[in-house]
Amino acid sequence: MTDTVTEVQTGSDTGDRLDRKPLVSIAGLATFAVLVWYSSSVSSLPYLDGLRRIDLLFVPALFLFAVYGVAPLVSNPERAQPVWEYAVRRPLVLFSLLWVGGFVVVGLVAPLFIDLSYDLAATHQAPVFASAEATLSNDCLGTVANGRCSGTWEHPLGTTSIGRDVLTLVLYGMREALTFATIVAALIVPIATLVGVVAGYRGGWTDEILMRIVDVQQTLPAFVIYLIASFLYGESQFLLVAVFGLTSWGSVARIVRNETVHLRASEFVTAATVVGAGTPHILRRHILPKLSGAIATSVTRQIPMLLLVEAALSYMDLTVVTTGSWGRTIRTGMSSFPRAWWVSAVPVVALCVTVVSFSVLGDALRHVVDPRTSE
Amino acid sequence: MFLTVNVIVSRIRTFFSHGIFAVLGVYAVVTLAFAIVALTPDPGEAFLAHNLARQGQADKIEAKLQAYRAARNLDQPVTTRYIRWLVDITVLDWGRSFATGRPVLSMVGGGLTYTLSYVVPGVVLGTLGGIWAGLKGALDSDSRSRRGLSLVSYVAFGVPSFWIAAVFLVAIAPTISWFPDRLPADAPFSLAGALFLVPPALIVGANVFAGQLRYARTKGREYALSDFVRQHRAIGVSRLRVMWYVLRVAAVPLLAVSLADLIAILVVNVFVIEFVFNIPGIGFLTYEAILDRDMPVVLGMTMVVALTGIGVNFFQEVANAALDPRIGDDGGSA
Repeated sequence: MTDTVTEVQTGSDTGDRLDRKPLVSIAGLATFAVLVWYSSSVSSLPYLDGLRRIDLLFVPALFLFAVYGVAPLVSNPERAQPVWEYAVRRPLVLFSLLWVGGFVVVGLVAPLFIDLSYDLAATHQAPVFASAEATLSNDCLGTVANGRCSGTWEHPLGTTSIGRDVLTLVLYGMREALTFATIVAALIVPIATLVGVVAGYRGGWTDEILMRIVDVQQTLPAFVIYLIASFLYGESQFLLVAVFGLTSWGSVARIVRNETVHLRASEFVTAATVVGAGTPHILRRHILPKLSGAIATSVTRQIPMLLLVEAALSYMDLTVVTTGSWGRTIRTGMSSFPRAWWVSAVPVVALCVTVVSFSVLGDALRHVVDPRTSE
Repeated sequence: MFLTVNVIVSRIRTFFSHGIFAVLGVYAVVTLAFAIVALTPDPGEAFLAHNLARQGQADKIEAKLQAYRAARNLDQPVTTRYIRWLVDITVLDWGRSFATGRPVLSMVGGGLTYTLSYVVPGVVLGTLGGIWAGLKGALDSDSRSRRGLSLVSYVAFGVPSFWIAAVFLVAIAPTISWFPDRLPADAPFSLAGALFLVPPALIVGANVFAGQLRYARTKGREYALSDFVRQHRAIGVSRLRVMWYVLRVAAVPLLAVSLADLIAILVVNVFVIEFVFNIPGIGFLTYEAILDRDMPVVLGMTMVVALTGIGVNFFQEVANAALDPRIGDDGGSA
């Protein structure tokens, strides 16, 4: 059953397309490197001089995601068919799918249009349809009634203590969260695939030792390693994504390893071995393509925890001050909590819905990829 | 189950082989901690040099640095320091805090008392509740209540615990007259002290509950459609009994799959809860030590986290072998 489903998903993958992906990615990454170098040392190019430092990792990560994740789906829409069919019958899954899609699009696009200015003449405005004590703010953009200032459409989700629009802030937070999640995932996938495939395919002592390393590594969560690393090297966004990317691959590697063990024992691999196929051929043609479902599932299931941990770190002021990060906004909002509840509540809702959506989507992917658990 | 001599011998071998791996893991972490200290520039040296230079005593920097290194045995070769480090850790001499001068081990002990006093009840409550609700939900024939339950578990996991904690302290605690404003000095061994630790325990419990519920539900679904469950239900065995049978069969996967995530969930929760509630447990002490740049304390606390993880891992392997007779001394890699 498992084999037939993965067969449908990967069956139409021709050898050509498989071989072109590494070439495309290397060419794309090299082009980006040259452009960045040109922009920083020769003459600044449009768009490139506006990049944040972390974008030097974010853009390549997005590019790899596009080459290995989006391109195969676009060229081969029937591969996404089972997921879509599963989602259409389930409102929660459908909502999650749309939210995650919206999250990615907004995180990419919104910050290009909206500027993160503040307006000291519009501090602590309530969201539209809500009201706040009139004494909370010097200026009330809406109408004052019974000593309460009502919100306006000018700031649909209210403003902060220095008059920043909360909706804009939260959209900015999406970009921060998307940046973090994309880079970390782009680090997790290759490491976990390499370790998992080597352990599962070689077996024996290699397997035992690699999985023991995963065991020990998983006893020290990325959160703690980041604390120590930031203690030693100072906080930076690079350090944050590097630590989380380099230390969170354990559970993904274990799933890849288990899947590889199954695939290795399957009849088509035996058949390939019998007709004289070598290890590289078996790995490239028969094992790696069939791992894509398991990898996508386990990485998606990893993202909720990553987002929550990142928010916790910025809430505790242990990351670089990046305006707009959800944890940071929640922290500033809590200082005026019950009276200006919206400043922290809106990013909490955004974070919560995003985390829930990724969890639901991860579980849905698992149902589709591994039908043993489906209802 | 027949406990023959062979089975017992194999159990003992399993126990020892896992034990050896656990000890190796412990020393791997200890070595890593040493590497962090030995192979990276000591922030204390730069601090010292900076201070002297600012006071216009730049000529004394070299002499002071040597005295600093000698006081911390940093002038000896790396191998000597490494062996000394291994011995010190093994005989439980974990050094003293740079900031307070107290032995690290006693600080760790004090911190653990606070942390464990709310984490243990939270984990027990959350695990039992999560497994119970998850299995019950999985065997429930009404699909609407099943979906409601899963939505609850998703949301319980998604709401950040630091926000719940902060909202409780800012908005709810002041309205409860009998709730202490801050952690009483004699906590957790007094009524007020224990009371203060109830909300942290509940927050930890809710997070563990959400994680455990998801796993138990998924595992339970796998078994709910299996032949033995359908046969038992067909002959009218009560749902509670069927749940017990499923639990007995699913115990190993439930244990195995959740521990790594449990540790990750717990560590984050311990840090943010202690940060918000000002509880001087492991997380809070580490946080303060980081702000104070107090290396021995940071290392000590981190090693405790790692050692706990390795210990729990060891316990899991042994429990797996006991719960599933098929997992023998081959490590159960099938």
